[in-house]
Amino acid sequence: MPYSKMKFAVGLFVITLFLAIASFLYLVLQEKGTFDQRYDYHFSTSSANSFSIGMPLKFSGFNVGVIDAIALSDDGSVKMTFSVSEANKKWISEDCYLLLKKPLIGSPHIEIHATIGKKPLPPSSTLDIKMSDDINDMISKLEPVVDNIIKIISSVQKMTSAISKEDSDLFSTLKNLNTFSAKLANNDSLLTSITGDEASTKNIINSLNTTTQIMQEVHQITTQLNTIVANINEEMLKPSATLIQKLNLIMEDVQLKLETLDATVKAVGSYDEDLLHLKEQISVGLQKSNQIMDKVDSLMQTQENSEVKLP
Amino acid sequence: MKNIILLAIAILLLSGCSFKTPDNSWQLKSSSAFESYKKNFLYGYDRLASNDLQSAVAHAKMGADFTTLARVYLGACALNISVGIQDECKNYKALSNLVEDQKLNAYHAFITSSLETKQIQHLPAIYQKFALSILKSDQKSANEELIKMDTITSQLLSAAIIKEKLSKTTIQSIIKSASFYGYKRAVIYWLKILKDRTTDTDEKKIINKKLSVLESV
Repeated sequence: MPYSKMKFAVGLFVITLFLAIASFLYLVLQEKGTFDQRYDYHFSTSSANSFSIGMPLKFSGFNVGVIDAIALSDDGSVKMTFSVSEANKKWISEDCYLLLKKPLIGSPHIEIHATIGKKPLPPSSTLDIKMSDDINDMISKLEPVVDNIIKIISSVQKMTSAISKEDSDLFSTLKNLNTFSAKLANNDSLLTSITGDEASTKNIINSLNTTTQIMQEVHQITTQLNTIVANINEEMLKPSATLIQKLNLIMEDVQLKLETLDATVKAVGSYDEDLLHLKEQISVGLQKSNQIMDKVDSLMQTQENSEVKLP
Repeated sequence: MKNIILLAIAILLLSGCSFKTPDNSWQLKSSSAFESYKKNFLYGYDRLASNDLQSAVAHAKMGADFTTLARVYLGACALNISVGIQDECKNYKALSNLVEDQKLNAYHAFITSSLETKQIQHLPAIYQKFALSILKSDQKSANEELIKMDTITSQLLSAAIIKEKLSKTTIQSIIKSASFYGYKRAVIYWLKILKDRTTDTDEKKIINKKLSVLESV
């Protein structure tokens, strides 16, 4: 190819490539809506905190607009300008308001709350905005609960301080109870005062003494019984336990061996099938080899050999 | 060289094409199996012999030929007698009324020592003079006829039939023949007969030693 023609071809290729790239970019940008006409709207807030240029405006969870400009007004308020596309212009209607959502997790965004069927607002209209702060809302809801808890704690503190005083009713009651129990333990006259009869009091005391003796005897019997049980434990139960443990070990061993034997029996069963199959194969092989041998034999045999020759 | 190879291939092809299994192959197989049985039995290869006999019987039954089957049973019985095994030929007797073959009846009578003169003509030619000598009680002639027989199995059978009347020389000749063919079972049997006949202690010892060597293998 001549050099001039080659230059022409290369130039043509570069131009074609450039046009193709440009067309592709144009199509992509057009599809993204870059060349669509946008309509501006405004709203004002006292502070620009939580707002930024490019912040999305959502309707029913979809991004329908974006903040294009933030400006400080002469009266100290902040004027925001956002734009929507032709397709989403219908959502900015009368009675429509904006709500700034600051979720506990995630970035803040603006939600558009509109009533369906209302007339769309003309471009450059100003909308109202409300703030919704999840953290502050939660704190404000918790405040009364915290107040109540503080009150309960102070009440409990007052109660414990009142009880802990020496002249408190609780302390007096406990002292009286102590005095009564001491007298009851040391002097039978109190018991008499309860029963109303001195003989009955003595009978009760005698009964209590007898009970004490009985309890002592029961204790002795229990001690002896304990000794006997200990002896039984030493002489009979421990050896028996040892024997049982040994028996258990033997039985476990037997069980293991039986399990192994079971596996072996199953394996042998499968081998048996294999052997049968092998036997059949060998039998067939032998029959075939016999047939070949017979053919070879028949080559050498004549009709004269057909009769069985007696010894 | 090329021509030789081509010729060999052509011969192989022609022989392959011309080969045809005979229609009475069962009869040939039965005969062949019985021949094999005779040798293996006398060699002392019991397992092979048993297999051969079964094969001979099976093939004879395949053709439903009772004469062949009767010959197999009678032959087996004769072989047993030839090495001193007691056999009443029960298998043959069970079939004899189905066959009614004079030759077989004569042979049966011959091996069971119940032969009559009129049956001699129905015996195989090899036994006829020998049988006549027996019936005439001519022991010398019988021994001579026995030695003349050119078939070793016939010699063994004939010798077993008149074992009490055999000379020591004939016995030794039989042992030599059996030994030549490698018929160990027959050699052992006739060595035992010879041992019983011998009065010489040294010879008995030698025979005993030979027997112990043969029977140990």
